[in-house]
Amino acid sequence: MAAYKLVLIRHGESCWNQENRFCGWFDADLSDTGEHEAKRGGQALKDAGYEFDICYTSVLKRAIRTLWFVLDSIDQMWLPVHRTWRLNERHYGGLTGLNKAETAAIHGEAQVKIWRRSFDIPPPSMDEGHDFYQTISKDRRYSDLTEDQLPSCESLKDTIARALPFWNEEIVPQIKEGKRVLIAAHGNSLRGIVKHLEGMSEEAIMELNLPTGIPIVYELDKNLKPLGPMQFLGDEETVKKAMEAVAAQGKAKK
Amino acid sequence: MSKYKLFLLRHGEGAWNKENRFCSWVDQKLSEDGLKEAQDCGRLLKEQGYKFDLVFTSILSRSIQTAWLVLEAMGQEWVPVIKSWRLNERHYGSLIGLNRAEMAKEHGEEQVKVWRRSYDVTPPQIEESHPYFLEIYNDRRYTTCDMPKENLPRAESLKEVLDRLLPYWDSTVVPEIKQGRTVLISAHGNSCRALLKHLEGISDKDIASVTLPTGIPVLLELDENLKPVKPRQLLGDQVKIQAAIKKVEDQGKAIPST
Repeated sequence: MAAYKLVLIRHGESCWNQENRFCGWFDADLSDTGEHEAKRGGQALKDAGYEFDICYTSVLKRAIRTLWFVLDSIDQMWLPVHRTWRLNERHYGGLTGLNKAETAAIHGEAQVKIWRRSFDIPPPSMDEGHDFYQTISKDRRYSDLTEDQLPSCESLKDTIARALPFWNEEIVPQIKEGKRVLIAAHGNSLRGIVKHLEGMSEEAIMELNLPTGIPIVYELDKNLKPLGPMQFLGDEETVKKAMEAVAAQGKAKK
Repeated sequence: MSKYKLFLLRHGEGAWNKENRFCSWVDQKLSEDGLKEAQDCGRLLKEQGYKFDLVFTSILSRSIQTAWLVLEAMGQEWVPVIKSWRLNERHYGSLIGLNRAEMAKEHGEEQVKVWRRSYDVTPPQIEESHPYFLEIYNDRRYTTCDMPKENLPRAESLKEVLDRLLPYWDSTVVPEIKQGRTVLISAHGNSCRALLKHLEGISDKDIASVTLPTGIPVLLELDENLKPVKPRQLLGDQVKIQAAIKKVEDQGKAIPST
């Protein structure tokens, strides 16, 4: 018997996804497709009659706007929303802004493969000379972060390490108070939560690509252990496609 | 010497504004025009280079939508938004949902003016038989307030709006301003007026003639005691502002019968 239900939603396509550029902490907006994905996700939650008590998101607009579309769809715009840098996407450091071809050209295919397959090797850091250093590292929204907290790059391990304290200290107590939680965030910050909930290995979480714009539902016991695999919400077609895509990931050659 | 900047914003047109009906605690969303008003406001604030640290809204969707659109236009979606019923529009009691022009025809422009613009005359309370009673009081958001649902208002004068707004202002908003945070309050005609009355020391009599246009940001520059150091500034194009003021004032007048 489920003690709690948790809903996660990964934002959809951003303008930089369209251009195949490493986005990370760059505050790219949703593309038209991404907006559509968010509305569709909201509609799925509305059709299923979901009610929430509290929402969490990052400080990046693509996640926040996704949440706003959802709250509008389910008519719960009045819910409290907490924004935190700890739910931000992984920081891609010096790769931020590069497209996949440029990255391979600059660093070589072999190095790119290492970064993609590694849990704990970070990309090169974003230094002061980087095109996006000012707009990201010096952004007002990060002014409260200490020097230790503000990343210049992150491995997946780093991302998870700064996301989980927020999960444990802020989100878990709310769930245990019976608050129904909605988290709208990014592929890698959500991977941190999923890895933790399901006790997944480093290899397994690196294989998992969460579907975008589709509400992901976990039923949890009183110790916050999932009672079963994650469920997707949506029309039959959308859900089926998402499940197949996830199942196929583990088998894909890299 | 101005120490703090505070911004007030009355949301733009909702569907019922067009029909000239008292919307109050009924949770209407913005009309297409209302959405545009919010976006224009955001663009203006962005052009003028303002940076918010914190936004307060009511728990009515139209004030929240307005805040979101403003933040979006400014690229400041990350700014925290805090919501409270204490910034809700004035509760118009049994007048909720009634058309202003018809009311003015039935009761006379003067009576409607008294209900709308007097300081301490409370309209008749909303009763369970009212068509919008359940829509309001069965709404889950009113179980999340800092006051039990049964103690929430059933009708309010402007004075009563200030009575429930002021404790929130003092305990929650003021400390943020005093920490140097640039605050935007995205709210409603009467919750904004009540706050203005308090901040500017407007008399019970004079507040009646204070009209806030919709979608126009109001800048208050305050000293260290939160007293205004100069008159409030309505930001933006003056012609547009005057037209917006007139639009609100015209809503109180009855449509002449043909």
